[in-house]
Amino acid sequence: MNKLKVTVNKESRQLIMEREFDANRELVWKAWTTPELLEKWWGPEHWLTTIHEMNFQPGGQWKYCMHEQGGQNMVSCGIATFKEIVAPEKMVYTDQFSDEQFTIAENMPTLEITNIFEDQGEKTKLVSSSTFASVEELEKVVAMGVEEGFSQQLERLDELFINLKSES
Amino acid sequence: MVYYTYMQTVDIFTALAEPTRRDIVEMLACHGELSASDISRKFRVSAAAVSQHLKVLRDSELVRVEKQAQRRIYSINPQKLDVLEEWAERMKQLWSERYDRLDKVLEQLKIQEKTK
Repeated sequence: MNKLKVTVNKESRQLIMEREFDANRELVWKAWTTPELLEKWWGPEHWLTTIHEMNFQPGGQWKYCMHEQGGQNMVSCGIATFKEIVAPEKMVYTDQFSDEQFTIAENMPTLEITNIFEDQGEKTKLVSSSTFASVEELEKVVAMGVEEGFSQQLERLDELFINLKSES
Repeated sequence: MVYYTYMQTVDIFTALAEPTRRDIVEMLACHGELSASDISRKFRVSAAAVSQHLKVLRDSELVRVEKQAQRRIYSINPQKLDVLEEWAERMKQLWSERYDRLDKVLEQLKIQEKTK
């Protein structure tokens, strides 16, 4: 597996993630922009991702929900709004948390994400930069993810118990 | 001043997943320092329950304790509350897994392209 490199730049308030893929740029772009393909890889293990809307053009929105299968049956939804699209090399979008009716709650933090797809022949390097408004905003993002992270940990415990049971 | 920190045995997200503990952390962030009894007084739950929550927070190293005579004074452990660091760690976890799944989708796409 290719390794993900993560760096944080406090001055520019950015989190930068870099990763190589063993596929040409057209394929990586296709996997990022085709709803049926996105649904296959976006959500965490044991979560079902449904894309409710994918209007892939500047100003267009991408609305999705992730449903936990089993466990606490939690739901996490989000809306991405595309700001800039240069196929197949660049996309800029904002990402926000929402409820299941796709209403964005007030005072919710927004992240702006820029994805650059670098053509390396049979490989593609993807550089993704997430910019947050301030550390205070970021605190809210972290707090939002707390419940989800917690449930995933519980799930891992469940799996552990199942494994232990089958071994004994 | 001597602060007692503990070995981290509970991760921050587990510690913060419980609403009362989130409130305690917020309270400490606002007030700076509070004794265990100050904290207890502000909640409807029993002192024993608050004391249990404080233990989890200590184990996560989110808070630190200073002993003054018979009193234990709690405050936020500023080193641990590096939101940026925690967030980066969390994003790394989320996206590593997400991109590993993307690898599999790309493998399938490559096979489809070849058989076209």
